[in-house]
Amino acid sequence: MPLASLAAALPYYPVNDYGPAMKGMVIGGLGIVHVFLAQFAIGGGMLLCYFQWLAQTGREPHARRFLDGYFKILVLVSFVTGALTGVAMWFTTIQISARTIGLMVDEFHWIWAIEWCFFSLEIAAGYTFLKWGDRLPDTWRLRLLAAYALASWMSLFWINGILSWQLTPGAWADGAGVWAGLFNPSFWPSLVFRTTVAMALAALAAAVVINTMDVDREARRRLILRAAHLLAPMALMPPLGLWYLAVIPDDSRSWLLGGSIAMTMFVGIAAGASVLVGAYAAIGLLLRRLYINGATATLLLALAFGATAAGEFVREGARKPYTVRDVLYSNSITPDELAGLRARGSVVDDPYPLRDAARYPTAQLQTGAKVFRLQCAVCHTMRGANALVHLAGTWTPEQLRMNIAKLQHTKPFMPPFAGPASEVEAIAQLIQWEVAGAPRAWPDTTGDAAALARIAGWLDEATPAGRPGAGASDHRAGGRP
Amino acid sequence: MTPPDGTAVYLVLYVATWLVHVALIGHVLTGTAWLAVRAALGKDDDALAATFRDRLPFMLGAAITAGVAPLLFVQVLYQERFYTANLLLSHRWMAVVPALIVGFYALYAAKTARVAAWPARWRAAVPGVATACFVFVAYSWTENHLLTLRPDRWATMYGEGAVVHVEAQLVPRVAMWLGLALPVGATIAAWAVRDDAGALRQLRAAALAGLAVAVAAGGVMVASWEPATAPRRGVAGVMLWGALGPALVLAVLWAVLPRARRRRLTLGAASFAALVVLVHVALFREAYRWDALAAARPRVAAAGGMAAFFAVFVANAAVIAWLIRGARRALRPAP
Ligand code: HEC
Ligand code: HEM
Repeated sequence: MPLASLAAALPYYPVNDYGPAMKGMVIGGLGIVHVFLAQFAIGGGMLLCYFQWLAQTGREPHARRFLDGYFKILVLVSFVTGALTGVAMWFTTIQISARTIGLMVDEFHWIWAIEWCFFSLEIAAGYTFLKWGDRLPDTWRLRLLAAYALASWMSLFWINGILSWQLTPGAWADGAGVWAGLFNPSFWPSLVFRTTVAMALAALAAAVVINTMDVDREARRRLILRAAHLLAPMALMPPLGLWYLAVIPDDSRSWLLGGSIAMTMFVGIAAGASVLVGAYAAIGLLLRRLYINGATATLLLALAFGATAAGEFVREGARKPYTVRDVLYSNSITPDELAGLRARGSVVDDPYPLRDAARYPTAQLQTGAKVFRLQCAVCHTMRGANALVHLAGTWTPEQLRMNIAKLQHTKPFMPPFAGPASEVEAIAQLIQWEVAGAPRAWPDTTGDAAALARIAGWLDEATPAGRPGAGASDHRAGGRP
Repeated sequence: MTPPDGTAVYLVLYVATWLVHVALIGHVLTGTAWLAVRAALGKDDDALAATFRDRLPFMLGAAITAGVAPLLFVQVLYQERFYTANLLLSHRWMAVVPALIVGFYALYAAKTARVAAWPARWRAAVPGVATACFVFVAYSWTENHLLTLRPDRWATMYGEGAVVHVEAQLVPRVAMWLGLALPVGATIAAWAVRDDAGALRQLRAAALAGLAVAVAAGGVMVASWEPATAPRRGVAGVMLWGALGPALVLAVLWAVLPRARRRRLTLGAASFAALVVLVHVALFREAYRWDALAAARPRVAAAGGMAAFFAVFVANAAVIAWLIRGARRALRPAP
C-alpha cells in the first residue's frame, strides 16, 4: 500500500503522544542543555586563548595550570555531551516537528554542511591540543586554541543564521534566496548576543574551576579577575536585546512585552537573572576586585543557566503561531494549504489510525481526535499541560464552535483552523465529551446542518475564502517593512 | 540506474561520508570489544590494548562527527521515510543518544588509572558496557534503515503502538555489519602496531573471523529478503556478491600479513581491499533502496550554498592538515 503521505502535498507523519507533557517541553528541555553546553564550549575556546596568551607573555604565572585543567573539563563535558546533544537535537527536532526540520534541511542543507566543516575543525584542533598540548611550544598551543575557538564560534555563526531565520525570514520570504535567509534581520543582534552569553558562561564556569585549584588564595583571586574580563561584554546585553526586539515581528514583540503572560514572565526571568549576574560582575569583580568563592560562582552559573533556559523558551515561544514565519504554522500546515484542507478535510488522507479508537463512542469523536492530533497536539494536551478541557471546559457548545472556527482570533498565537465546518464540530464535540468525563454514549451531531452552517460562516469570517491565512494579516505583515 | 533529477551530488556525498563513518565505527567496535575480551582474559596490558585505550575516545568522536554528514544528506534524499521511521520507533530510537553517552564516557573511564587498577573482571566490564551500547546503536540504525523501506508496515505499526520493527533480514543484517567491523577495524588498528608481529597475529584472528561472519550473515540476509521488499534486489544482490572478491583478497592479505616481508605494502593493499569491500556494501545499500529515491524536492533543487560548501570544505581540510602537521613537527619529545 503506497501511503498517501509519500505523494500528498501535506506529508502526514505519525504523531506520538507524550502523555501529560507537550512536545514543546521535550525539545525545550533538551534544547536548553544543548545550547548551554555549546555556548560554554564557544566561550571556553575564547577564554583558553586569552589564558594561553597570559601565560606565554608571562602576565599570569598560574594561567597555564588553570588552562590545562579547564581544557580537560571542556573536552569531557562539551565534546562528549555537546557533540552528542547535537545529534540528539537532530533526533528531537524530528520528533517534535518533522516537517519543520525537513523544510530547514531542504533550504539550508549546504549551510549545515558548512557548519559541519567547522565542527570537524573544532574536533581536530581540540583533540590535537589535548593529545600534544603539554609537549608543544607556546606558538603552536596558541594556534591550536585559536583554531578551536574560531571553529566553535563559526558553528554558532551558521546555526544562528538558520535559527534566527525561523522568526525573521526577511527578504528570503520574497524569494531572495539562501543568503538573504541566513543574514536575516535578526542575524546580527542574536549572533552578538549569543556571543556575549557564551563568554559570560565560560567566565562563570572558570570561576568554579579556579576555586577547585590547588594554589593559594591570592593566585586564585588573580585568575578569577582575569576570567571575569569575559563578563565585561555583558554590558552590551541591554542594547542588543533592544536591537533584537526592534527587528522581530510586531506580534512576537507584543507577546514578549506583556501580550502573553508566560512569554513575558520568561523574558523577565532571563533579564532578571542576567542583571543579577551582570551586577555582581560589575560591582564585585570588575570595580571592587573582590574574590568569588566556589559557592557563589556555582550560584552565578546556575543563574546563568536559568537565563539561558528562559531565553530559549522565549525564542521558541516568540515564533507562534509559526515555526517558520509566514511559511509554516506550528502544527506543520502551510498557509497555502489552508484552502485545500478547508475544502477536502484535514484528516481524510491521514493514513495513521487512532491508537485508542475504541475509546470513542462515535465516528465523529474519532474524527475529532484525529483533528486534535494533527492540528492542536503540538501545543495542547487534552488533560495535561495546556489542556483543552481546562481552557475550554466551561464554554458553551456555541462558544466552542465559534472560538475554534476563529482560532487565530481567539488567541493570535494560534494558527487558523485548517479544515471544514464538520471538523470544527467534531473537535468541539470531542472537547465536550472529554469534559463530560468520556461517557459511553454521546450524540452524533454530524447531521446538524444549522450548526455546520453557522460554523462555516465563522470560518469564512476568520479566513476569507481565496486568501488563505489572510485572517492573520495583522501579524503577517509585522516586522517586514 | 541513473539517479533521479537533482540527487546525484547528494548521493555521492552521502555514500562518501557514510563510508568514512562506518570505517571509523568499525575501528571503535573492534577496539572496544577487543578491550573487553582481553581484559576478561587478564591480557589487556600489551601495546595493542594500550593503543586502543588511548585512541578510542577520539575515534568515537571522529566516527560520530563523520556520521553527522550522512545524517544531513539522508534527510535530503530520503526525508519523509527517514522521519517516519524515526517517529515510529519514537522512544526506542531516542535511546540511541543515552547509549552513546554511556559508551563514550565508558571509553574515557577505561583510560583512567583508577580503572586500570581494578581486578580483571571489573576492568572488562567497562569496555563491555561500551560494546553493548555500540552494538545496540548499530542494531538501531539497521532497524531504522529497514523500517524506512517498509511503508506497508507503517500504519499498522503505529496503530499497534509497537516500538520495534522486526523483519527476517534484520538480525543477519546486523550480524553482517558487526562482522564487517572486525576486518575493517583490525586493518585500521594494524597501522599502529605494524612492527609487532605478535599483535598482528592476534588481530588476524579477529579480522578473519569477522569476515567469515560477515559473508555468512550476508548470505542469510539475502535468503531472507521478504517479497514486499525492494524490487531492485537483482542489482543490490550483484553489488553485495561483488564484495566477495575483494573480501577474499582481504582475507589472503591478512593471512600473510604477520609474516609478510614488505609489511607496509601488504597492509596498504589490505587497506585498499577493505575500502573496496566497503564501497561495495555502500553501493549495495543504495541499490537495495533505489526505488525509494525520488527526484529532489523543488526547494532542494533551488537551494544555494553548494559552492560555498566546497570552498569551505577545502579550506578547512587544508587548515586541519596544516595544524596537525605543524604541531607534529613542533612536538617536543615525551618526557
Ligand atoms: C501554536 C500553538 C497552538 C496551536 C497549534 C493550538 N493552540 Fe490553542 N492555544 C495555544 C496557546 C499558547 C493558548 C493560550 C493558553 C493560555 O492562555 O494559557 C491557547 C488557547 C486555546 C484555547 C483557550 C482560549 C481562551 O480564550 O482561553 C482553546 C479553546 C484552544 N487553544 C483550542 C485549540 C484548538 C482546538 C487547537 C487545534 C485546532 C489549538 N488550540 C491549536 C496555542 C496553540
Ligand atoms: C557507536 C555508534 C554507532 C554505530 C555502531 C553505528 C553503526 C551504523 C551502522 C551499522 C549503519 C548501517 C545501517 C544499515 O544500513 O543497516 C549506520 C548507518 C548510519 N549511521 Fe551510524 N552508527 C553509530 C553512530 C552514529 C551516529 C552518532 C550518527 C549521527 C551522527 C550516525 C549516522 C549514521 C547514518 C546517517 C547512517 C545511514 C542511515 C541510513 O541511510 O539509513 N551513526 N551506522
